Amino acid sequence: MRLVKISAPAGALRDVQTLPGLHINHESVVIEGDGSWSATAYASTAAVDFLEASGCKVETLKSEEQINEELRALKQGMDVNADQGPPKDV
Amino acid sequence: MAYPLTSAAIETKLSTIGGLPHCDLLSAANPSREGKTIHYLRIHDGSGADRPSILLTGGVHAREIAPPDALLSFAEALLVAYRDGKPLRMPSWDDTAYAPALHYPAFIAMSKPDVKAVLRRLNVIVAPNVNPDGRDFALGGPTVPAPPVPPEVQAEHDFRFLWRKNRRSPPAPLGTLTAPLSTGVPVTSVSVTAASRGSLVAGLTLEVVNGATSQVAVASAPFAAGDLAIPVYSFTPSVDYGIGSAVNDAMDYGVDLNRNFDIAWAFDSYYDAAAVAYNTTFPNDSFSRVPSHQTYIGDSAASEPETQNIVSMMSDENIRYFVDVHEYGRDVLRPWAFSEDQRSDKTNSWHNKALDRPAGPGRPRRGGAYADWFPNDPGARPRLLLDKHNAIAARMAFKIKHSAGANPMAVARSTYATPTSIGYDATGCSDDFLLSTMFPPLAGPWPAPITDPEKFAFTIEVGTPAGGLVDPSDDEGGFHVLPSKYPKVEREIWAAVSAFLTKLASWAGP
Repeated sequence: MRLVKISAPAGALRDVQTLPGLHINHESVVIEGDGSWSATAYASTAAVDFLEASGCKVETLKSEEQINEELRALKQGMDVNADQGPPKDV
Repeated sequence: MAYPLTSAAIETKLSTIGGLPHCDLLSAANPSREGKTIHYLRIHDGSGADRPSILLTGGVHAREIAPPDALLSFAEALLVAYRDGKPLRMPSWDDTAYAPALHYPAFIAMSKPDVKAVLRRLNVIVAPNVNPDGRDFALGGPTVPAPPVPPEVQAEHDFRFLWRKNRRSPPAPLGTLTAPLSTGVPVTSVSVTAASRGSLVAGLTLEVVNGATSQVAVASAPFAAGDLAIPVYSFTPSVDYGIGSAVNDAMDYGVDLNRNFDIAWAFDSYYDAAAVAYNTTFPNDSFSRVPSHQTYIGDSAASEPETQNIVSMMSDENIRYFVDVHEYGRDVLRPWAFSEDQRSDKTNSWHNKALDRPAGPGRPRRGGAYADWFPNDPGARPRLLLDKHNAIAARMAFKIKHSAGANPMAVARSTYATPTSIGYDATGCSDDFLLSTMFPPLAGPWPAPITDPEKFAFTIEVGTPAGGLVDPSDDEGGFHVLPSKYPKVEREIWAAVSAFLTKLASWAGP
């Protein structure tokens, strides 16, 4: 999945709620006065294709590899912790 | 402290902290669905049935990685500060994602007298990791190698890192689907031999998974004998992570614990038909009876052992104050999550069963011509409860903001809102549940006077979504707070919780 910013016409938000491979970050949703909206989302390539075909503007904020790298870094911290054994007494 | 901690590492750390003076290490009433023991802490220097108790929980949603670690570090630091007779101090931190680095100064979360007052006047219950199975599942996906990434590895990775629910096994299949399925061939009809699970009945669209592909069909006709037999689990619309992956049908696992509490749990009774129809088009946010959805409410209220554990803690520890820490949004929220609120009309209440369907009309959704009563009478108990909730939420938000120091960018990045709720209807939430326990038993007459002690409940949403709230440069990693941003989120949790505890200690003072 990549991280994208979606800008879409009014009405499209509800239509894409259950689109496979799309996870909208709902706290990021901004609805304009004319009903158009924008939001960040995790999206698969297929979901991006669908969105664009539906008239949504899709801008990539982070590539799949960038997200993979962030999660790799997160898991490295977890692995380091696992290697440390029981925490020292405080 | 290393971040993030696995559930096993959290348990180990809890054991260590539990060995400190003035701390009890306690076992939750039930093991998790996968059999993990769940411990929590009771921090106190004193005893007595009348001591106010506050419960702090984290990790309800599996993918929200940072709060368990931060609550654990808070508990440890509070105990060490008390033992050493020192204030609870958070050191300075520089966010090096900015050039020049964005400086966040050291701050005193609690003064020395406040630390003393908190331990001597309150019982502070800390349950940092209430959904260990979910956390381990979210953190336990494959580490994606450098490109080219095998598709099945990427699919499982993507599936796991957004996991929200606990890890209850899928419900029993509805029945056996027999169909002439082959990969890539759309299903045109299905047959379900046991067409009932809860309120779900045949006639809805089904998600069909055969291990190699995921297809959508409409129940219409039986199939010929001898066709390929496939278990049927899910109704669409559903979220399908990773077509063709080994986890393709795995969304049916789990219950959203923060939709499983016994408060407006039966949303199809609480709301009117239009509200149900509207809200169930947002199955990643509001609520759902579909097991594969992220907000699946479970088979019954408090069906999950992890939910029951929190309910037991609230009861056994006589909890009157509660904070549930989530990600994300930079919000300090208060009840009700299932409705907007008003302070005068007791008739419009979740507690008024005459409004429930099917006997009653149900209630409109948020934004409609309905709001649920929140006690705020100036002349009767509980006095000004809504106003006091708002004041405490503002106090927590102010402490977070104040901790950021003087840099305008740091202040902007530490500004929390205090809205009524997260902005959509959500039922079965833990903070709503605690507040609901003030009300008389449901079998009693309504309106009826509230005689229980006043209670306070909050949900804090820390951090920003991946990609930022509005500004892409304000990205703290979303559910997976980046290791480089974790110190900021930890500071914010310490600040907010300290502000609440300090206020409670002053209320409980001589």
